[in-house]
Amino acid sequence: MKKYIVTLFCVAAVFSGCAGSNEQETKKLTLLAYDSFIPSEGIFDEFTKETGITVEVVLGGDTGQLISKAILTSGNPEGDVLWGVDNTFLTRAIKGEVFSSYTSPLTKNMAAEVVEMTQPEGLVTPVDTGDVCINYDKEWFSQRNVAPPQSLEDLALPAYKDLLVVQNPASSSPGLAFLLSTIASFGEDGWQNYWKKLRTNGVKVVDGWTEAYTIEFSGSSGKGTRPLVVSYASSPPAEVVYSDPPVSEPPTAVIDTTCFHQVEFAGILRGSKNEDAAKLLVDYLADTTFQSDLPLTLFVNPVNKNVALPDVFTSFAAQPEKPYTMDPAAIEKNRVTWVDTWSSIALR
Amino acid sequence: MTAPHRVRIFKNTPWLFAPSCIFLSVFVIWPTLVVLSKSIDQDSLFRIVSDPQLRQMLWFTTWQAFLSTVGTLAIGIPAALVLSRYSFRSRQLIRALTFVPFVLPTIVVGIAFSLLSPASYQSGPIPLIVAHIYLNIAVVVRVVGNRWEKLPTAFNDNAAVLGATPFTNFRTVTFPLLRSSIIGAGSIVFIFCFSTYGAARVLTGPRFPTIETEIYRYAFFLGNMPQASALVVWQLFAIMLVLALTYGQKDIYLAQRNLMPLVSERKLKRIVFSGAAALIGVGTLLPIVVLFIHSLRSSQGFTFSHWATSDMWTSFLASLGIALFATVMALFFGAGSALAIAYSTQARYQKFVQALTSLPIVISAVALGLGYLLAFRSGPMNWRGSLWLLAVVHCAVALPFVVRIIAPAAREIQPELRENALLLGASPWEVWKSIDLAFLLRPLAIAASFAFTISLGEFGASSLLTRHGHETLAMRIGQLLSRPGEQLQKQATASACLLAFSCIAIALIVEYLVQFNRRKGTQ
Repeated sequence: MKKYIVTLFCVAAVFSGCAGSNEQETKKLTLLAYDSFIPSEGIFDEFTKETGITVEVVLGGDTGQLISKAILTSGNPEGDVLWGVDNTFLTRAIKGEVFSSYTSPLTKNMAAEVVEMTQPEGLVTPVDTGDVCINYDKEWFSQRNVAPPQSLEDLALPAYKDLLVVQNPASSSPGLAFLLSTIASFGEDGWQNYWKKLRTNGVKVVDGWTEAYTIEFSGSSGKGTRPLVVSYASSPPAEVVYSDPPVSEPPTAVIDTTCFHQVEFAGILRGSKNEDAAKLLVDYLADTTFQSDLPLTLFVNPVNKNVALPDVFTSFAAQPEKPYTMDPAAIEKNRVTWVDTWSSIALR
Repeated sequence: MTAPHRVRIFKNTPWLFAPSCIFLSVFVIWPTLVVLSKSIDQDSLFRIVSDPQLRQMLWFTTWQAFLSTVGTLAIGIPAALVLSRYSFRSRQLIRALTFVPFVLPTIVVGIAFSLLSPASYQSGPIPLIVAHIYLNIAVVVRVVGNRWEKLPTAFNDNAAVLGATPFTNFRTVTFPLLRSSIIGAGSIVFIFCFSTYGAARVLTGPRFPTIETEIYRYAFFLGNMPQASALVVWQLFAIMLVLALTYGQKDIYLAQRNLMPLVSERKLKRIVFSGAAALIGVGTLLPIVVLFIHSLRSSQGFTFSHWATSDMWTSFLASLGIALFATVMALFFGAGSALAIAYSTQARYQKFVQALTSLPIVISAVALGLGYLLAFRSGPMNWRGSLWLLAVVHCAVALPFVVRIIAPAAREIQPELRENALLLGASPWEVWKSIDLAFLLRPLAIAASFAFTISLGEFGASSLLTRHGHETLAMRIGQLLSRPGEQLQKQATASACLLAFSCIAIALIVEYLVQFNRRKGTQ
């Protein structure tokens, strides 16, 4: 019995030891971000050199997880700065009182329509933009001498029957973006009818991006059967950068009339004990050094207009001229109704 | 059920359970209560009655779990027969193999399945049930097989001499002796299939949500915490009900005997059983082999480049370290609880301990993860982000299995052995050390391998904890799969293979240790 008691004490000692080492340090900031936030190694070295503040990146699941966790812990956050709330989640995060008010002065170097999205509160700073678009498998279409679809309407044509895989807008961020793009395109009255046609045309719905892109889609690593998938405008350059073996041309391309514009924001978490330092970090995230790292690591567009895009990105990433977009407040207001209606059309 | 304790040697059993009781209160019950109390409301709680979609979801979750359980038992019981009653070459290897699917991240299993049959791959309830059978056969092979191994052949031999056909023999002799272990295994499998997450996401798609995928969706995508919490409560209630219904099956007491597996004399029978064993091995291994080949292949031929990333090996080391810590803790708390059950003579106390140690499998991983986030964030309990918290979660998830493996073995120790030793003048401590501990070495080793592999594969709860750079292998796989690019996808496959190989290695090591120990014992 003594053994148990002694071991218990040892365990307790280990526990308290660990707890003790978790003390707050003044010169350290924690940056919370979604799982796919993997910038170049040492990207924060310059920030540390300038300010003496070290940055620790903590990954917290996908965007939905990140925001839900931030809302639950609002006021006593897991970190100081949050990277990656997008326009489909922004209103919910603001309602959840996640952020402390701050917008970087560097917004002066950003496009006006992007900055407008942060209104009216001025709680966050835009950091990157991206587009969710239909991607297609180039080889699949060229082998069969079929022209790839050109528009959302085309997707409902018999020539493209059983070729499209999309994500469930009730569980996936690109899935929701694609639904929003059809709503923006066909309007409140027309989008239901469009989805009925898509369903008749054999659209396949899966739960998430990974399932759609890596399992069902024929154009990437998987061996799926469907050559059309909802993914990102920057997926083709990602296919080149991470190709195996190296290729000069991506195996996939984007239909740029189908895109929905996503903007991601960074903000200071309410309850951070280092707000002044956190402001410096938000500025750094919006500044040229960090912004130029974005295209080839996160495969998103920088928002800072002073940043030049790398070649592989400009040649292969679609830059849709008129992507669909929507006001964050409108998204939050109608999301549940839209998704429920969509489910009854596309799933049941 | 317990053997009659004519002499009670170990009277202070509450002390055995005290550490686990504290552990479970702090790291399972408290965080769950925190997350539920923060968000639950009455309307959401009863929406499951009024909302037809939720009702439909609950019904689907239940019937697919039921069919999966029936299927797993139908294949698992014959597999347990072959692997525990007959001796053939590479028996340990095949037994070890059956264990691997159980700990593979379910998304990896989904990918392997889709690689195996890309053309005919259709999502729906049937692939889900097939995957559940594949994932859970290990439970039946372990739980039922362990019992089967100990059945004396004399009963069956007598029945056969008296003219019983093999089927009658099984129905009237073997089955009653196995009944409790079959029900025990069945209830665990049912609970797993009921709270399925990864496999359901990959294999059935959005048309057939299950309760855990809905909890996840409400919590993270819709941001509707009250509804997510309400579903957590219903899930808890349903699983508790299953446990209550299946608990308390009386074991027919068997004296502990170390029986060697039988070798059938008839050649035909031997061929049939070897064939069946080979089939089990191939069936289990096939998806892993497919994954392995996939990880090596590039359009220029074969390459090891996906295996040569330092990130993978760093997170592998992190996984091993965390798993080691989690295993040591799980054995400490689990063995204590198991012995508390075995040494107690009060049925009510045994039930209490069993129920409490089952909690971690009853509570949704989402609830547990979010609970940690909320419960351990301020004051002296500001443990958020500590590395050891990850090991604690893994320990909590493994604990029910450790208890379930050790407790039955501890109960089967013949009390006569202890009495004799006492009569011969041994002190209670010496009795415990030379008798109980000797008999418990084998279940301890098996429990350790369970805990270790569960920790290696745990993803659900730990993916919600605050992480400071130390990713486990299972988390890394999830991250790699969430980004486009063939290289990253292949690296994910390589990591999944590494996970699978580690599980095979651990299971093999334990099997050989156990065999070695047994051979030494019989000499």
